[in-house]
Amino acid sequence: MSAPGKDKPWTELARTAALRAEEIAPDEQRQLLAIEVAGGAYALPVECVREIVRLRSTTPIPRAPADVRGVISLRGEIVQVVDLRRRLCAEPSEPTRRSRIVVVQSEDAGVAGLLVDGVREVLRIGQGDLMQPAGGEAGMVSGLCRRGAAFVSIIDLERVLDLHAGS
Amino acid sequence: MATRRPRQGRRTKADREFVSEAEEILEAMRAGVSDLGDRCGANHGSDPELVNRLFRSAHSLKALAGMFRFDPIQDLAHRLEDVLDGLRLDRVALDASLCSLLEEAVATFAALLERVGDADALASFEAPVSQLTQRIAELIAAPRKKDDVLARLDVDPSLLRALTEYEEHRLRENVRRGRHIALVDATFEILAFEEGLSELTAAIREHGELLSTLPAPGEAPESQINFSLLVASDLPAQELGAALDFPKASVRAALTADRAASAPASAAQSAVDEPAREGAAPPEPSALLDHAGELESLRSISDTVRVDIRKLDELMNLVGELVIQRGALGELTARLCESAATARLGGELAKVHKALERKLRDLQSAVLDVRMVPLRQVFEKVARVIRRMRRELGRDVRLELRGADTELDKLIVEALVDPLMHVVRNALDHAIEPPEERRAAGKDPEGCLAIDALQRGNHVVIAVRDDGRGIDTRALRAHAEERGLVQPGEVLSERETLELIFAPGLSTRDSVTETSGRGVGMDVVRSNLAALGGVVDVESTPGRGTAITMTLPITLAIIQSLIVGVGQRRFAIPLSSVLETLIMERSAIQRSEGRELLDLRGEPLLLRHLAREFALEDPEPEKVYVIVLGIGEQRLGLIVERLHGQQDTVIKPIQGPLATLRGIAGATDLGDQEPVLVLDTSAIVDDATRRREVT
Amino acid sequence: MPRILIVEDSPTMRALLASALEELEGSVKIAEAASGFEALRLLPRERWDLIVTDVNMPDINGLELVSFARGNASYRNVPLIIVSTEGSERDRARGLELGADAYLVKPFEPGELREIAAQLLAQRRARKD
Repeated sequence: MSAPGKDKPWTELARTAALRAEEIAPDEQRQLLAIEVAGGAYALPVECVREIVRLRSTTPIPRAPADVRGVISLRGEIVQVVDLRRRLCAEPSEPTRRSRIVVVQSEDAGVAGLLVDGVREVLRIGQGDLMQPAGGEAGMVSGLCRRGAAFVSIIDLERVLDLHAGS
Repeated sequence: MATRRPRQGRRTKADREFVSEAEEILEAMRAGVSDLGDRCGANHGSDPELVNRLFRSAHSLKALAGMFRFDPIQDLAHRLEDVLDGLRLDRVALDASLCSLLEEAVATFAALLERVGDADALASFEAPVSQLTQRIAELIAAPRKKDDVLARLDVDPSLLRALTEYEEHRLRENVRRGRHIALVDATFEILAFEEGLSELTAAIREHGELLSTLPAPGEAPESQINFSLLVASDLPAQELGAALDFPKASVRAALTADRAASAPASAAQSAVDEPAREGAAPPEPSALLDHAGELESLRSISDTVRVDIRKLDELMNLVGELVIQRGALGELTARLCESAATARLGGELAKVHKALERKLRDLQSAVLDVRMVPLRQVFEKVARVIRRMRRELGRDVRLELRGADTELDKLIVEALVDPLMHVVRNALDHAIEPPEERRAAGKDPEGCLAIDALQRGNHVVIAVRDDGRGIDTRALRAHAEERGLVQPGEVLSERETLELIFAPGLSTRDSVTETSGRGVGMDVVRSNLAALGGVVDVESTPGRGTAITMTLPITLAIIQSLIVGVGQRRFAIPLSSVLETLIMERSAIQRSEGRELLDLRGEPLLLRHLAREFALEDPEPEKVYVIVLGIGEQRLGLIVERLHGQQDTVIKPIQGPLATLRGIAGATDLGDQEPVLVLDTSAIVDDATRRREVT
Repeated sequence: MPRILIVEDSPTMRALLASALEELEGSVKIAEAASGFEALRLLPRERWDLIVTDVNMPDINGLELVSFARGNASYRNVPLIIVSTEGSERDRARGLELGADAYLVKPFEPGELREIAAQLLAQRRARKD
């Protein structure tokens, strides 16, 4: 059933695959959700992302730290929303039509919403694509990777949501 | 390859490819069917390899026809597959009628293949094909001639179909050895199932062999996933369930002898008449006896229905939303009644609305009733933990549990586990002294922990009492002063001092609480309970013991709340804490010792401004509302700007990184998608009565 | 752009399958799951146009994955190719029974996989229109 001419024999494919396999340790291939915060490019591990919703009525929580914007109702579930811009860059958010709330599931903090300025795409990166963070982002970034020519900061979700540890 | 010519011109390339491959398969089938016919005629019995090959051919044909979308051929192949499957699993007997049926099927296939490319001709074959499939169906439905292990399993057929050959072999092997086969069902969140599932499978492996894991969509397919695990064990299902100690999983026996009884009588007869099946003979008759006991218990629970708690949650949510909509309907009705033009219509609508309200309350009660479960499971879990901890702590504690039959909403019971466990651990950790110390104090070296549950009206009171050291109020106070929660020299009553254990930041990082887990303090217990609409109290006598009392509403979901407004915001106050509501002129506020008070029928009522509590803008209007809150003996007048009325609300916990939200018990959605925060009245009252100044 | 999910525990095999499918006409988006469990987690995240799965995997086997997918309204109609390993013809047969659209027995040519994949994807497109 093979169409002649279109085939790369397995040997050739195997060679390229082997090269890939070298770079990628079996369970290190990761998928990241690329997002935009205050004009910067960031990313979240896709396993933590539950869903992405548009902005909606947020009820502020009295006497809560400024980083927590408030709570939203998500199909009946009440979820806190963290202003990621504030958290990462100490700038208050200015929501636009492109802003979104990324609903994440964290080990320690449970379900939470992250207010971001925009959501881009899902990136696939391998172990070899990961780099150490450049510093200067209040310790909330666990690493860097590339998206084309630009650098993308990979967010350490547990740190971001650890509101009691200071920022 | 194709030797038939008619209408070939109409065939597409795909058609031709299909026909060519199909004819190869058919050729193999023809040969196989013919062989089978020979064996049948010579009374040689079936040949498994042959039947298997035929089965595979039917498969391939079906798959092929499926890929090329030739429905009639696919249908027929499917039926054939069924009957051949039955044949190879010994569910269908090899006899003359089967053989002739197979021959006819092959002939029909050939005829169909001839007509590929000619839609009309194919259509004309519909009737004979359906007749054939009918006869095949009848053959399959005929009483089973031989008893098969797989047939005796009371599990969803889809579980059996997904077994690999090896898994099936393991299953048969275990049954042959007379082991119990159980079905364990558990539902998890899609995002986090692996952890829970591996915990469960690890537990299963300790008690038996995990034969197969089948995932299925959960009740809410987007977020849940259900796993059905087939387990072989020496323990019967109920014991296995107890041994697993996994409250989320349901365990039931999968191998029942009474299945034979429910199939047509002839099958039951033959099961007894033909015990001598290869490899499975010995256990069968005794297996029937072994399972007799299980049979009894299975029958006795047959008049209850096992319902997934998620279904109940959904049901409850729906009822909750219905209630909210009814509320909205009520408002509209009221408006209609007010306007002269629509008053009459409004009046009629009001009658209907009233009837709806009654029925809805009935529905609410009925659903809530279904959700009620006894505290027994929680108690058992506590007992297990204590048994485990006894070894760790090296001291013996007698556990007395009373009121296990007391019923609560299942959600509350589930949410109760954590706070209860924490309180119990606290007691074991530092309340109950080591045996030497106890003896020296003249106490029984074995400490006693008693958990009492009883129903009081709309509430259930759960008291955890220990006969240990009691709370060291001096140390507690010293701690509190250290943390700045209490000013040195500040006068605190005994009760107020005890209440300090609930202060946030006090009981957390001490070494004292190391065995209690992650340093979760009593403040979290209090807020956990507050989220359920409950309160917690403490009493203690030094040297004699401590009693922690938790009072919870019997039902969670729908609670009447008072909706109040301050500035731009709205808040909900559970009506159960509201004693009365007053309108007051600002000038009526009296000041004394840095507190604001109101003279309420001769008694001073401590006042608090909700706006200031929550650091909101306070426009300070002339006339305000005072919500008189009562928690236990304490009273507080909460000043708010507006009253929006009463509403049925469903209080939901607030999820997220902020762990404690002081003064907030949860949030509710009033139907307009904008969450409204629900006040933790006991925390607010407590806060106010402890503090002296108005901040 | 068609979204393809590959479920296969052997990393090399996975890479091979991915490479083969990347050569499909037009562009495709390929996601990989290294186990049945990972597949279960990935399934609800996207609207998949094709799933290619191995049978023998440690946690849940490919048959169970097929059964799960077919039992769920969201994935009932997603084309499914089973890539079966050595040995069990019965498993292969069961896979089809459970609702897989096609099966391939290793070893097979990359072109075969591509052809079947292309066909199933085309059928899916046609049904959508």
